[in-house]
Amino acid sequence: MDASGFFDYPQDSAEPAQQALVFLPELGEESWAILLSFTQRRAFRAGEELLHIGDTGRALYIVGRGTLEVVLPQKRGRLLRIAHLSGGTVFGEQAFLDGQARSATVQAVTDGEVHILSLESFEMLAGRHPELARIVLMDLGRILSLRLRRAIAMAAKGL
Amino acid sequence: MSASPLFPNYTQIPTRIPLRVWQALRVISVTLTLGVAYLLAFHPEQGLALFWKILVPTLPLVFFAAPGLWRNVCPLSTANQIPRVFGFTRGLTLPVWLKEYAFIFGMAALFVAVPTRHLLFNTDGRAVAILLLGTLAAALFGGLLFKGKSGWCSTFCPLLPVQRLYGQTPWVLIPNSHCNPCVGCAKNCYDFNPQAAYLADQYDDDLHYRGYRRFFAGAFPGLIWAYFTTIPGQETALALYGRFAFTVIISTGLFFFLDTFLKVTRAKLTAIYAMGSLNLFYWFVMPGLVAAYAGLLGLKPVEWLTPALQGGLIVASIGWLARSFHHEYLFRRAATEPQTVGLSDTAKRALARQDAQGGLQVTFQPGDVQIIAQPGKTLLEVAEANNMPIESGCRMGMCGADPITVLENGDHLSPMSDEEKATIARLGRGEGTRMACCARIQGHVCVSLSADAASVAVTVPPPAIAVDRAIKRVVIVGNGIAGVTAADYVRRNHPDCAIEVISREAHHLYNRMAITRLIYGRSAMAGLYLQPEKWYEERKISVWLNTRALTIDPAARQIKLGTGEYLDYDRLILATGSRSLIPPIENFGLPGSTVLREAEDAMAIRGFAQQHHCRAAVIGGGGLLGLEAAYALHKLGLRVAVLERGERLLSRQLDARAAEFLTTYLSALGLQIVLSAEVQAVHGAERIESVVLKDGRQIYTDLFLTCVGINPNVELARQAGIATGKGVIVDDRMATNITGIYAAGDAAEFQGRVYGLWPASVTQAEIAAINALGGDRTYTGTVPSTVLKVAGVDVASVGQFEPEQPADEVFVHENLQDTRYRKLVVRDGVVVGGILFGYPQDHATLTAIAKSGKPLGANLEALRKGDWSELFANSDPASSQKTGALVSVDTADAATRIMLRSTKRKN
Ligand SMILES: Cc1cc2nc3c(=O)[nH]c(=O)nc-3n(C[C@H](O)[C@H](O)[C@H](O)COP(=O)(O)OP(=O)(O)OC[C@H]3O[C@@H](n4cnc5c(N)ncnc54)[C@H](O)[C@@H]3O)c2cc1C
Ligand code: SF4
Ligand code: FES
Repeated sequence: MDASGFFDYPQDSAEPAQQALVFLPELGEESWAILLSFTQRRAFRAGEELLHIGDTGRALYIVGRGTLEVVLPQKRGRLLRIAHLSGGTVFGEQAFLDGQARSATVQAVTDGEVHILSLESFEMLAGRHPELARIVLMDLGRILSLRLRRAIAMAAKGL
Repeated sequence: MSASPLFPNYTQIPTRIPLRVWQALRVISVTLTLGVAYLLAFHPEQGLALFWKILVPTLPLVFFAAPGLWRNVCPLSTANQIPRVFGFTRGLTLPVWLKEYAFIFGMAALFVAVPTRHLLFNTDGRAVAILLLGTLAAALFGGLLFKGKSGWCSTFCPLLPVQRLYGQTPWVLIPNSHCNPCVGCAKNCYDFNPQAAYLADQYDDDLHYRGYRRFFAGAFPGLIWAYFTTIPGQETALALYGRFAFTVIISTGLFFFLDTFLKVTRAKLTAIYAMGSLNLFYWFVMPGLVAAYAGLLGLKPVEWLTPALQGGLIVASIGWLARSFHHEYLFRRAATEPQTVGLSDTAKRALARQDAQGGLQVTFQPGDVQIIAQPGKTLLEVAEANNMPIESGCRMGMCGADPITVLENGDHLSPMSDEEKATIARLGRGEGTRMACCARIQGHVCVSLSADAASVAVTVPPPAIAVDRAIKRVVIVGNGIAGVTAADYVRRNHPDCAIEVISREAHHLYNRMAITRLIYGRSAMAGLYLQPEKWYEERKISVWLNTRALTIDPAARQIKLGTGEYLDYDRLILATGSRSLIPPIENFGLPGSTVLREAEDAMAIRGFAQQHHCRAAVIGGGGLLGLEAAYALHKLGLRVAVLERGERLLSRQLDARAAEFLTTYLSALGLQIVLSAEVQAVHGAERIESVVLKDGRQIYTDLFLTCVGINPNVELARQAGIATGKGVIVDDRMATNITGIYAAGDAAEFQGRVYGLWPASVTQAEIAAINALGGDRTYTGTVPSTVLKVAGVDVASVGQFEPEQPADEVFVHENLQDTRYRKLVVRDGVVVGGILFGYPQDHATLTAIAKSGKPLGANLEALRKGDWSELFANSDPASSQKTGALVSVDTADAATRIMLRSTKRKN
């Protein structure tokens, strides 16, 4: 398992420990602009909740500005943070594909903005720019596949 | 609410004790240790008692409750850190092999030291003193060589395994005060993250690394048992060590046995073993410890104290276990959190660029949700795209499905059209209300979606006409928009006549245009009703729901209801609407073959699709209704094919070019469009299995809807001798050929035409109502204006979209890059109609221009030069600038050429 998040020793932080997966690494700026024009932009304020654990809703989130945190609600209203999402990260890709309930709450740490690609907007994208939509799907597939590989590798190591 | 980090590291744990205090405590701790060593050496009696009877038995409790306390004041760690503090450490990195085996060294030292107590340390003060000083020296030496705490505290220290075992779920978190800063000297460092360290060890990818630690957890109770069951002096040294080894093996064996057979997660067993060890230890030492402390304090111990303390420890252990288990769950949850997905620099640039372009802020209340949207979008589009709870119907301000209340900056919305004003008046809502579908954003706004009571202000305008007071009772057949509008206008103008509305359907007025939502949505009729229930009551309109009007007796001015009752009328308004036209299709009516006109139809379709697990659907008819139905079934998850008899989709609204654009879009969405296809028959044993086309093709399907047009409900009128054609024939006052009887809506035929459109129904009903009361209004027809209600296609058609006379001018503008298309038909300098594909914000303008019948004037010249910007000043500037291919032609011939060209390309 990846416990590295709990042991971010300061000297490592110069080079980000785990090279994060990159969404659509090859896509050009113009295509990105088209893709973004199909998303909904939503501004958030520090403390605002964007997703609640258990919610359903098929949408992919791209954090434009600001920082969000992934939290698990605990007894007595306590919230435990299990991850940070800073500007330039993507989340919700799994629910976007499988439509299952959100497994954690996401709330804002700072003010900022997200771009939301709902399934419906994606359909419109597919209607207008089928080739771009295909690239998006392939890339989401690639990301899931890489994750799956990692999971399999972990399992193979006997975890 | 603010979140706290799961398993905070030492820099995130609040410090309550200043460093100075820790430093002082460390000096004291080392001094005391030296003192104890002195005692041991020179007063072994006292020294041994203090060391073995008080100090050692107390430590595990400290590890259990507040391990961080010990990590900060431990004399060994103080010695180890001296070179670091005073800057003379070599700061080496521990070699890899030592990193791996240091833990084993510490563990082995402990396993040898414990049995040796019986042989040496329990009785020989000097030996203990040497052991103590030797360890201090070793810790110091480690610190001299290695960086951080890796020379002793987090590696070799024989107490470390015990500290980690007992301290894995600390009750009290005390941050490490040694490492400033952390140099990352140890893996899964306990001093760095006291709550995650042990779990990280348990879940480490390295089988051996975690194995050593699990081994220790398994072995430790054996060590304790062996120690306390030894009777000193009874066996040889060899036998003693042998028995220790044997017990440890038994204990470890049991551990790995349980590990294999207990179906629990990994850290549960180690936690249980930890508590087993702790309680076992205090089972043996508690009596002595209590006595020793009592002796030290000069008190006489009470008898129940020992069992009470032991019981208390058991209770605490159970609580500790529960916390440990939960921590493990949280750890696993966080550690399996998928890797985050980032963006490339290109993507970040695109984001920044979009950011720089700005956008308008729309705030939705309640909830204070802030959306940033493109100028020119309607509030409806913005709300829908963001999954706000909003209904919709006509998408052009006619039906009243989507009222919103503007809370701030109403002037940042596009101005209201007459239709929108009329709709708001019908809804009885006041100042501040807008129909979301009409309000295009032009600046920051704040709106509320909840039906805001404050804005509800019924404004009944004073009678506009001299009503005929002799009229006592008006009967209206039909509770659709025509019937209800008629009732509304009768009441507005005649405050005290009786109004009876007969409705075959079992619902109050609902939004017929939005019934496709019943197919894919799960909220059924909620939100589909257009008036609050009290609307009828407030206007003293009595409604007969689920009741048919059977016959009319014009001579007696009486109408017979299906219930057998009779109603007299002074005036009768027929608003019986229409039903779906059913083309001659063999076997139609087989379960699964149906139409879509009423709410019940839509709900039945949803029910059928669920009951029979429908996967595929076929729609007969590529008109507005057909496409909307197809889209609804697509959203429900079915594979949908649309069969169109003609050469193109929406033949009544679009020309060939626009239809081609639309076909491309819908195909890409996943709808299958089949042109020149007409259904001959439906087949199936119990329910539909396939449709057969006229050309012999067969398509398998689970559902078939025919959407080929409407058939006005004229039977009631015809039986009464009222003139009928396709519909009930009316004159320009909406009167039928029989005095006192009027007709409006889908049921009415005006100048040979049945509109079948909502706005026409509204206008006709208003005129019929006023004229029925003695007014004198004339109807001049309605310019048909329709939009396709399929997400993502902004296609609108107004009036005449094809040239009809040789002198008609046609202007066409294509933007292939963005697949946009617009077309205007101009006759004698006046716009008579047009098509917009991809220009939603211009729809209202086009409708207004076409309706007004005003000459274009200077704009005509501009259009002839290919400049559309003046005409549609509302268009968003971005789109008109980046005009792609520009095709601008000015005669009917040329327009045909374009159409020919596009048809050719299709082949
Ligand atoms: C899915 C769909 C989408 C549409 N989209 C649009 C659109 O985008 N734009 C547009 O302009 N138009 C649209 N229309 C058409 C629009 O809905 C109709 O033009 C409008 O509803 C006609 O209203 P009406 O009151 O004349 O008739 P109806 O709404 O049909 O109402 C007539 C009522 O009278 C009742 N009735 C009939 N006979 C009797 C009797 N003997 N006794 C008692 N009651 C009787 C009927 O049951 C019915 O309830 C759409 C229609 C549908 C079905
Ligand atoms: S890893 Fe960091 S916190 Fe842990 S002992 Fe080493 S220096 Fe201190
Ligand atoms: S009034 Fe807005 S959708 Fe009909």
